[in-house]
Amino acid sequence: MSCCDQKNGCGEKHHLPVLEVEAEPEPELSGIEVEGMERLQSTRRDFLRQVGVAAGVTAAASATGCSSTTWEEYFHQHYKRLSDEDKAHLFALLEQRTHEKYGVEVHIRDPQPIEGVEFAYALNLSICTGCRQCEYACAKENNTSLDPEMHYIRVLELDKGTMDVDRSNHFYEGEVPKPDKYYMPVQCHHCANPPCVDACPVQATWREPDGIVVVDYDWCIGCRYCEAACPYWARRFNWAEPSIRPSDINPEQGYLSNRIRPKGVMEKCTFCLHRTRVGRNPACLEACPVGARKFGDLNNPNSEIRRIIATKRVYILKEELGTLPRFFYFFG
Amino acid sequence: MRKPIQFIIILLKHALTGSRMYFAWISFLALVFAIGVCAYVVQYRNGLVVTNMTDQVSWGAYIANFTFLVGLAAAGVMVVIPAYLYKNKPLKKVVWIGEFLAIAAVLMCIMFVTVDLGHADRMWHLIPFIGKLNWPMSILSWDIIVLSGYLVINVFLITYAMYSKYHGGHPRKGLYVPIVFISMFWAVSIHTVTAFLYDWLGARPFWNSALVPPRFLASAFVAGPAFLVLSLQIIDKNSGFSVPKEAINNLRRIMAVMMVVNLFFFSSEIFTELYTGSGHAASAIYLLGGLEGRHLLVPYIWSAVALNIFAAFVFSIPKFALNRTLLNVACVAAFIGVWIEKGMGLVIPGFIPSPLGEMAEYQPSVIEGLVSAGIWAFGILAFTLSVKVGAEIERGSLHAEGVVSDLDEYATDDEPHSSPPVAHDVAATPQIAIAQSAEVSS
Amino acid sequence: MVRPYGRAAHLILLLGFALSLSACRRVEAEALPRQAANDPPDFVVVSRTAEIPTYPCTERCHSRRAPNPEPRELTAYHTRVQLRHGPDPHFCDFCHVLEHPETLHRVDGETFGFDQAHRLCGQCHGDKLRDWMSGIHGLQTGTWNGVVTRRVCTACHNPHAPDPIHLESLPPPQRPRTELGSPVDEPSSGEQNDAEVSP
Repeated sequence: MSCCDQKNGCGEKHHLPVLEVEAEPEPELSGIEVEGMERLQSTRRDFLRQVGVAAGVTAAASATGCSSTTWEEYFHQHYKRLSDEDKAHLFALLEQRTHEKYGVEVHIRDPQPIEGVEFAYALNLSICTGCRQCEYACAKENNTSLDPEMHYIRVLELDKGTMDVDRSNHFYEGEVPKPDKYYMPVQCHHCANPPCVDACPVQATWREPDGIVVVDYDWCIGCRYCEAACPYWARRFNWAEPSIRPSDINPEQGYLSNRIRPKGVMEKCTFCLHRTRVGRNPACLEACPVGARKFGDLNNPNSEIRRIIATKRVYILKEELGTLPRFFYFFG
Repeated sequence: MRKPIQFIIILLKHALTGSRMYFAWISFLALVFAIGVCAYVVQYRNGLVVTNMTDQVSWGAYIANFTFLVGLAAAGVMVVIPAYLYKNKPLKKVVWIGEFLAIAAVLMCIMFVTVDLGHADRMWHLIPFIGKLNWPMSILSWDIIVLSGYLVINVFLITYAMYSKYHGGHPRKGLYVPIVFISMFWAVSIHTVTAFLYDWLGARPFWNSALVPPRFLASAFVAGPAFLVLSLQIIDKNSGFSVPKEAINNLRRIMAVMMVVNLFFFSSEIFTELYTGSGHAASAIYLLGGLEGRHLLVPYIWSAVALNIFAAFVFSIPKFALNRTLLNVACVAAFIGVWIEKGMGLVIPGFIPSPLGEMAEYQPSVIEGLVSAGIWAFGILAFTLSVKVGAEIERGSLHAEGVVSDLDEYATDDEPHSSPPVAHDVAATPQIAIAQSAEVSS
Repeated sequence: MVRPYGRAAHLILLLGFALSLSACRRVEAEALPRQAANDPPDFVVVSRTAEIPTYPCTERCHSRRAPNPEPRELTAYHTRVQLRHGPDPHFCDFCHVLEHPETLHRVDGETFGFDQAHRLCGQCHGDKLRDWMSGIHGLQTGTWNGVVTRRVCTACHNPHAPDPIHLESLPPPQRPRTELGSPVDEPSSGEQNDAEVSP
């Protein structure tokens, strides 16, 4: 059994991962996802069919009561304007909706930032093998869409001798690490000076006191300006209704992190705030079989992060843009 | 209160009466618009996956059209500035057409942005206080404010002017003229703010250039007058409102300068990107010659350059410019050339390669094409209807009861009183002499 | 700012963990000579010996047979052990006490068990030991603000033939749907970009 199959990654019972990887089976989707999954071919016939389907489905939906969503669900306020009571009510509503749609009991929580903590991540490029375990563990933890596939982490393969991401290869396969290459996973860097936060016209994304840049999925209007603004290509958009296998759903969810998102909104890595704000490690860190990922509190001089910054040659990507990322790469 | 309501009802009635060709035209536009609406319904239900936009190229045909149309909206001032600042009488006569163009273009802009949103039903989040507008940090919030303001200003100006004219009077200068001057600066600002949307993004080195706002304005001041020159001739022929010939010539002269400036800016960008040879030039290289085997946009950009150069020649050389057919062809060429250069040639290459170096190409899907066509049809329909009514009011045939029609208050300021035509002008276009004599005799 | 952890603190920690988590046998980390900037956070190490089926060596086999100190290729037992560690790997007795091989010994004579293998590895790999003690090297699980759980060096690195780790990578990300069937589907290499970008 490979590490990805465990909900918490490798957890404490760690062993080197199995070398054979089973092929991803075809996703079985419940009937509800089918509507959101239709991909249009560029033929007139399909277009006309779509129009007919759209008209028919609209009628059917209103007839069957799928439009019985409440005023609260559509018109509730921005996260920062919600009272605790509003939140409790809203979370219960969202849990109910998830149960209706997928048949899974989920718990949506809202852990608050720990006072005095500022999170940072460090990644050891000498050790990273490029195995992508982190990428898939993250997708599993965060309930991201299977089709269209959404992964927050993108692992870059670079030639030794260059740090230019324009020369990277994203689509390497097979046994890793390949000779004379090194591997650099990239995800949201939770910058201290985030261009995405400046770009958003409705303040649907902002930086929390503990450094995590979050998205209020129910406030985002889907203009994708933040996606254009991010220099690290860290933000993802739900072009279609996300399709998730009910059996894959991680039921421990956070309102601002891994609850199941609707179509038409942005999402990205949240440093697994539903885990890290209660002391646990992000899923990607636990999934890494070689310990290349380090996470911790920048304000604690005893943390590994501070030790790494003090003793290793850390650098950040695209430093000249002044984004002040909280994701440090080093060769250890 | 009765008078304004009556006014609007009469406007609608007159907008929907006309010749058979007029009906065919507006029916065709309405049909295209209806198809666009159906296509949008499909997109709304399925999500933006029906477009060809991806996480790699996250803006496409909609934003490309939006960018171009903001320029067209701003170019309304191309008639207003000479008319009010330099007291250019021929252009003052056609200011109202420029304003209708501005309004139609801004409406199209708003529609293009709306269809591009993943959650258009959440647009209320943009309203300050009720929603959470991120002003002043987000340039997009500035863009929304200036575009809305521009729409309000222009609707006010043209409605006030038309309403006054309809009742046989003039708009009050003390109220009207200051707002006209505000609209001049406001028009420049809408396109500058739209340019700022792009040029502050450090993540996109192709856009991160101080030359982007000047390029935007220069190309807008070609595309706008080009559209106006073509529309003016159609209006002149079909609506009974006579358009002064000098107006078209003035617009042509503006285009001549602006197209040359636009080409100069473009070459300046190419040189700066390519001569350094740094990795930051990847998008420019993709656009101009292709990168890693992908070269979808290369034929388009070079066609645009060719069209622009051709148009520049025709506009600049009077012998060609005064050939009406050649001028029209050049206007169409300039319009298309600028559209390609701004839409496909600026918005799309900014995304290729992605910030992590991934190559992914883009061309619009069928749904995107249909929705875009529908919005264009709506805009042209709005323009047609408003100009039809405006022409009747302006020429004095549509007025309130009891009003003596002023019949072309500018008639006294027309060609016969302007400077006599230059000899070669007369030789090249004998129609002007005939028109002048016709005006004088009326 | 740096708090020294004495043996007492470690003992208390061990007792606490023994009560709460009984799945693994845990061994407290040995206190090594301090380097001031690198005080380790609280951590426990997952027992390595629990993972070795033939442990303890003396009880299982080596009380019945005296090991042969002659450097040679092993053909009867421990046939999977290949010595490929450094320019001159010597033989078993370089690391193991020959009479009871579950005990390791260092050049200065100190002996300890497999669960403190880091003290042996650290003889030569001092910088890695220092990083491991600080939490910079090696897989850690648990919490970021409390006690972390680490693994001994030999859990990941084969001490006899510590070859570089190779893994089978998981599938590459999906291409953007607009790129499917694109004429150039092969990823680029650095050299290709080189030729195109530089004038």
